[in-house]
Amino acid sequence: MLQAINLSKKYKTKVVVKEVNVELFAGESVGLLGPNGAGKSTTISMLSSLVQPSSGDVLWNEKSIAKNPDPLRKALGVVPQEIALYPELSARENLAFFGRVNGLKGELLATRITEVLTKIGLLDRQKDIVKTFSGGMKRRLNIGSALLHKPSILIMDEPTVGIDPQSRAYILETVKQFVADGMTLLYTSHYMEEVEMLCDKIYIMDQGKIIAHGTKEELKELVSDNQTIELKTNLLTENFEKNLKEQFPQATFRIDEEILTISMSKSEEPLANIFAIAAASNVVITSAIVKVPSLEDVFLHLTGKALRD
Amino acid sequence: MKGIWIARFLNLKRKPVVLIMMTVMTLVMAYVVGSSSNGKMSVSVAVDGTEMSQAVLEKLKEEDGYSLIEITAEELQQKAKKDIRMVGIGLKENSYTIYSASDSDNVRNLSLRIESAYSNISFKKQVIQVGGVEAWKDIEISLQEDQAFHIQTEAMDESEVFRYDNALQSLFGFTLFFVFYTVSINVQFILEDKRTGVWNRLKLASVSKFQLYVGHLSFSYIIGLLQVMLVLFVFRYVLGTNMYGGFWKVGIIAAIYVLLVMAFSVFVISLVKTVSQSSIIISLVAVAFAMIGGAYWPLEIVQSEALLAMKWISPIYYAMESMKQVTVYEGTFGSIWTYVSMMVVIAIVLLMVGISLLEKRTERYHSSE
Repeated sequence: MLQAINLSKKYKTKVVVKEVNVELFAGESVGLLGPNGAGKSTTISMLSSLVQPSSGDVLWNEKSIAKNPDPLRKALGVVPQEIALYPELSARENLAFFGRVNGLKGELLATRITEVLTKIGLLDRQKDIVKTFSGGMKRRLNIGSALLHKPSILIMDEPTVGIDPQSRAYILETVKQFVADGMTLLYTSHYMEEVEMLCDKIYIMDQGKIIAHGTKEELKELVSDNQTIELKTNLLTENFEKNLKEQFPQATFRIDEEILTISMSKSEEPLANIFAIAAASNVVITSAIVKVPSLEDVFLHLTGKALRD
Repeated sequence: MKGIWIARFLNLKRKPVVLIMMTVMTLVMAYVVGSSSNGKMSVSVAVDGTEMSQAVLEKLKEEDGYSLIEITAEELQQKAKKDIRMVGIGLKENSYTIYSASDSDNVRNLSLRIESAYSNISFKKQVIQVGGVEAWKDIEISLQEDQAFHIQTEAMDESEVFRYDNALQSLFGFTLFFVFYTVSINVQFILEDKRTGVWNRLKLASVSKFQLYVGHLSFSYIIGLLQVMLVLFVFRYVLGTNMYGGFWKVGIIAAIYVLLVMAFSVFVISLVKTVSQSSIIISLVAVAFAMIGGAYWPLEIVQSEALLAMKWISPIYYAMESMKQVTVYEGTFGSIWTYVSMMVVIAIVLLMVGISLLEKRTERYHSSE
């Protein structure tokens, strides 16, 4: 079991992680969800023994890693946010390099490289130079480089950043397969749908702190009394918005690409009133969707801001 | 560490341009500049085949400051028409002609020396004709004894005597200058590995910091040293440059100098965030060090006190002086121990400061926050 106990990190005067507690049991898939700059990368750097915490401790199988991180490191595969590869080397040469530094050699190394290349779908491109790869292929090889020594825990730091939807879908499917095969996963992202798809347990981080954690269902329970209504109109006027805010003072409003999203208590019966206000404001509602709560709503509810703000 | 060497070697194999370019540049520049006129005035000379013109030519050959190229009278005429910068002399039985586009002090001085040669040879001829060879010998001895001043040049310290070998000046200067780039570019891999996250991957694979630094730095060092030794070898054993028996001493100094350059490069990358920042600093600093360290010209000709005072900050200065001492001045290792120990001490200090600054900065790379 990997445990973070009251982990904090301070750079000069800036506290980037504040008393974070995380638990990761064998076979679990845990998500660390938060916007950019929330402290996710620093937290996983401390969890993976790369950064010393300013205070708090990380336990691996109930033993502190502060003095001896090697047992954890042997069990750990880390996929960094950056493309940590040599661009001038081929895919196979990169894997051979990382396999070798992880203590693999000879026949075993060659077999593992082929296994990993098959798993990440790059077997037919193994001899190609990495700098000629697409962003998605580089990301896949970046993941593959962390798998050579058969780690029991995989920590992935935003592995789908900056790639096309097709590559992203491929990576997510691959990671899903790792989870199905029983690998323990710690996955950080600011894409709510990725975490929702892959993880059983979720920690939500903002401004260096864990602001909520639990299973998807438990977290959604936090906003179970809420409902989200998405409105599409012919013209979104200030007057319409002002009237809505007066009518529903407890609700939160957000405008994203001409869609007005309103989060409010389920106890209210808003649709009739919304249509009436629209008519009075000379606004035509072209669609209205009442949505079930999502992690996005949970984040909005907890912080008052959208995950990607 | 072996893994780092293999990766770096593969990388070099795929991108050998920089190393090849730096080596070729050193060879070409040192050859072109070093094989020029040694600071002497190049003069084309044509004789008419008479005893007198031949004797004057021999006399001129004894003069310092001229590099004489013997050609035919026709060639001299043609050269004079084509090359405006040429200085040439046509020597005949009783007269001479100077070909020059300008009437400079150098040309007037050359003219005086030619006249003096003609007059001395005529005088000697006349004496021998009248009194025989013995009479000339007596005159020579009496001329020697009756000299108003007997000038003897001597320095209190042998090292203060300025000796200059243009070929070695260029060879050492350009070698020390270009290897600065080769080593720095290789050391920058540390910065790149830290930026891309490869460094962290290696740390997570339980490769110690010591192994990481030794792996990268030893590779950079060997590549730099190979470049220097290759250039020195080519000049000594292929082009036959005279190193006054100090080839291996120069090699040992180069080994220490490359260590110093490597340490300096580590220090530079510890101060910057990106490889491009480091490249800019290295480019500027290498040129400045070469200028104030005496790579482009001997420091003995520099007049500025300020420029001379700055030579101590240039790694090139220590190596350049040491190399000249063990070759041109035919000195022993004892004569350069100050320079060598300075290089070693500075290298150790820069390495220690550089690595500790790099380690402090590294934590920042772990976090994108």
